[in-house]
Amino acid sequence: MMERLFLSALVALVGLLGVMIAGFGREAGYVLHGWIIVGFSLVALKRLLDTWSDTDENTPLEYNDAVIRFGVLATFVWGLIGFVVGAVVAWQLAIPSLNGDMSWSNFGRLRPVHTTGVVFGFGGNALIATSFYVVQRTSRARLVGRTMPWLIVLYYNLFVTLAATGYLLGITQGREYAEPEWYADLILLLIWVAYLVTFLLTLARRAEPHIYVANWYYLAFIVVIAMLHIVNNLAVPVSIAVPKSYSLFAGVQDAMTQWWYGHNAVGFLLTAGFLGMLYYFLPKAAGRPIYSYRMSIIGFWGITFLYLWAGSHHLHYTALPEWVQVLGMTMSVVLLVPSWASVFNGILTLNGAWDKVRTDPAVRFMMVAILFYGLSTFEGSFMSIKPVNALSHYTDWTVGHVHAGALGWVAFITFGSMYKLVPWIWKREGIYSLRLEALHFWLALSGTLIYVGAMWNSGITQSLMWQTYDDQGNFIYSFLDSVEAMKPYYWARAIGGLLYLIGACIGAYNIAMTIRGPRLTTGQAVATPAE
Amino acid sequence: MPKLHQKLERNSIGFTLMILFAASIGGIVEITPLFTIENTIEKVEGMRPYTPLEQAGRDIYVREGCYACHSQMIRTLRSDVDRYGHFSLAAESMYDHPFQWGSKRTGPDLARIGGKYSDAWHVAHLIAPREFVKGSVMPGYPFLAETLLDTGYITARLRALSRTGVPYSEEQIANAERDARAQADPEAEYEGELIDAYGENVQVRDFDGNPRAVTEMDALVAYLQVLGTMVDVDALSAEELIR
Amino acid sequence: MQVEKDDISGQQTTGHEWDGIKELNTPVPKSVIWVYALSIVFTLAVWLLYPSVPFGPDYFRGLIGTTSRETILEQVETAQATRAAFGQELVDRDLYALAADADVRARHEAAAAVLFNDNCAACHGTDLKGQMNFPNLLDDAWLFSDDPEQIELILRYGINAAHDETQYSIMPAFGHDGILERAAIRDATEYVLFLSGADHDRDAAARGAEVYASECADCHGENGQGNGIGAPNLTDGFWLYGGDRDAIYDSLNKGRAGVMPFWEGRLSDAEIRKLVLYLQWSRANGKDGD
Repeated sequence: MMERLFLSALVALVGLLGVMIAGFGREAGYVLHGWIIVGFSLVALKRLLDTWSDTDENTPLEYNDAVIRFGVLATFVWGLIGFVVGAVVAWQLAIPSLNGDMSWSNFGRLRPVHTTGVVFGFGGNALIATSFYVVQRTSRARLVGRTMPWLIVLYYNLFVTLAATGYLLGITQGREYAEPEWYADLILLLIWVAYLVTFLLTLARRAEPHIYVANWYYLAFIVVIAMLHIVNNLAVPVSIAVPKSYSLFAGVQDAMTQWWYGHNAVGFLLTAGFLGMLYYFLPKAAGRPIYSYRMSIIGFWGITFLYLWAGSHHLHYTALPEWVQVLGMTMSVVLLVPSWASVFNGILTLNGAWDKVRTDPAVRFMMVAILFYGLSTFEGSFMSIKPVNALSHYTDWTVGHVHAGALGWVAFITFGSMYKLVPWIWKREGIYSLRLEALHFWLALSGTLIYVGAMWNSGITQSLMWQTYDDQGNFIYSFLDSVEAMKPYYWARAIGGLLYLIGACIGAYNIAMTIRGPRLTTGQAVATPAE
Repeated sequence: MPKLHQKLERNSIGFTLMILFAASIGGIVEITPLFTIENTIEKVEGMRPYTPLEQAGRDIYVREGCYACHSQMIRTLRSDVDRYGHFSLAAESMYDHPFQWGSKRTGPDLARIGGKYSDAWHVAHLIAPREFVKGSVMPGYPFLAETLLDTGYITARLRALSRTGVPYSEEQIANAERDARAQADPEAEYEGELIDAYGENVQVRDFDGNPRAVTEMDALVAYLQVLGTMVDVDALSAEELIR
Repeated sequence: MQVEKDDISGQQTTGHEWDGIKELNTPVPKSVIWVYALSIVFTLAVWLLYPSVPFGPDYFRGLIGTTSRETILEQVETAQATRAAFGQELVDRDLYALAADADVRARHEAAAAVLFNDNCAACHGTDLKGQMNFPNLLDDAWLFSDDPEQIELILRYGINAAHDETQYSIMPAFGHDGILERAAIRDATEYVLFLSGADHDRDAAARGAEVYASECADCHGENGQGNGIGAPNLTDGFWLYGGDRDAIYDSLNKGRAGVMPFWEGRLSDAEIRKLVLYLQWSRANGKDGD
């Protein structure tokens, strides 16, 4: 009953927001957003009415996997959108005329479509889907609520849709990775609370006395993202008639809040959440126990405590006061220890199962993911040291660093997990083609290496060109010289990105064919909750 | 320690609160003092809120995602100062909602671009940057010159900004629409009023070279031309700067 | 729910199991604890030495307490001193002498080119040849004279710029400001075409001659040869804003007031002179080369 009341209120609130925007809006794109919100709310309403009389008692005792299947599909759809737009903006830098010089097609508007598509569309959906899977299995309990999980996934994808289409229309807050405007933020806030409640209530139902490590990480991901989202999106809307709002903070305080948020979107969405994924799917796929429970504790609390201090390393040498820079730098260095504790915990879990790295491309994906995680966290701590940062910041090195993490760690662990998860939740024998899976792996790996290598080179070249003086203290290169020197690297990066995209397309095809393939026929026992 | 932790992992609410506690410390220590420590924002003369036209231009700058390629932050590094001018002060972005310091320099820093080039250059360059600067990879923004500036909500914009703490007076808010149009129209003979309202350094010009209309190009160029010009940084002493 | 021994690692499990996943109770390696402890000691040491911990209205300044701002102010001062030492000759010596001195050129040309490309090339092009509406610096059509000292003045104070000492070059907007009727502007356009030696309408040009004499000749001279202080020569074939019928009509109708920004304050005296010299050297190249 509580659930139905809560859900009715949720659908009514979001629907009302949509109606108001559609009614009072004075800009075409914004009004369109109003209708999109209304449309999603009608779908939600239908779902709510269809399942109105469902209760845990009158539904069969089995895990709720249908919503996970939807989440997995959304992961791949957004992944492909994000990768395609990423490839487009990469080519725009190599061949600038590809910008088209129209408002919606220019780099500045497309770039957040790429980042939001991959971070929130691909990454976020993958995390929600796998968290629902993992929390059910490791708690031996069904998800709480028959409809709530659906609405969470549905409205989450509404948020991503509003965000991505908004940028094309020029609707943005102009703060990196927090670009969506206030109404999209409100919707995310509502369903994020619902997500946290669902997750906690499911945990409360667990048949296992202890909460498993993967769930610690998922929980940290949900809790901390909620905190970051609320604080960083404090803003004053201009009017219900226009989408625009102004950030509550200005200048230096705004910068610090934003990078506290931005760095920890990386820390808790792209790191903690995916460590949760790793802690379930790796031991599951390798068939080995976690190397060390104690190491898990050290890694988890170290990351949870330290990450939040590190954001200021994005603002070294800026107008941010020195003391904050010092705190951020030092804590970023310490952060390497728990990060690498997690790396070793992952790699050493493979002890006794190294043959699977050779035979099972999914395990290979996961192993390489851990290596890239180790590489990126080392690089991140290194780049947060001020003299290094003087070289790396504002250059392509940062872009390379992010992509080592995003392509090599986040997407690799996702692909590895998805190749395991899809046959499980669709109840298929296995993946459609192991050869295509292996091909995907090699394309993704070579694409990542080319990409990251190109960006290291361009970043360092750029930086050195900016900082090289002759003996009289004059610059040797003009800024324009440094732009022109980037050309070959921009081409290499675009080619690396293209390889990665081709790999992802093959992966999506492989997943689609697996889903279309025959159901599991052998009488394997289907896992059931313990309630 | 493992014993204690095993207790914690049996309690999902306790675990959640523990996460919240551990994770909130960093932000509390690093963010909140920025509002209380006095020398966070330097006490310097010259800072004023943006005029309505400049603010409208700033909103366009944000809308087009210029920050994806341009920083507005001259760091305390010799190569930054030598190329772009005096390092940026926190005071110089004290009315920037949101800040646009940026995180990438695919193009040059813009913190002190104001006055460096002529309006005509900005207009021509924004329309066709790659024709104007050979080797540039910048997208073109010809549509800005063709789009009339929508001043319909500029009053509401200034009011929203004043709610965030920008010290706009009631009069400034009330006159916002007129101020915005007049700043791009020297023939309106309104310069005196604008200077009275915003100060000596208000630039009243037909920024886009098209006297028939106030366009988004007018607004964006007005914004670019004021960047970094408010504070006379060279007149500041080391004591005023070091913190 | 029972502690087992894992054969491969020789470690014991914790006794928990989740969906078939077990954990080993492997102790944390001593090295990890040491590295952790060391990194924390390092952090505390840095906090002790540099500005770090905030409290209320202030923060701990650190025992050494050096900040990036202190460092940069010193660095900039040193760098300026170095550059000043090398650039002193540019400020001290006579511009004409400098322009003629091959050693000066060898010492400064490379840096001058970078300075030009970072500051001037946006309008005038890296080849100095300018573009539509932005003057070519290698040709002989100068609004003001091409004398180095005059160029230095322009660099320092700009043209039509927001500097008290700036020089002006303003073509009035005869049509837009209602000084002349459209027909008169059309006639004057034909007369200017005639002056420049281009195809023109004879009758209209004849009428335009009167307009020209009363409105234009004061600045552009009776024969259109310009005045060398902002009003261009109309007969030399160089056109900053275009020399065809439409462009000339436009100039008469809407006026022209191209802006050269002022560089005083943004560039040092030596740098401004370096750019003046760069222009001289490049012009010399152009003359030798072409």
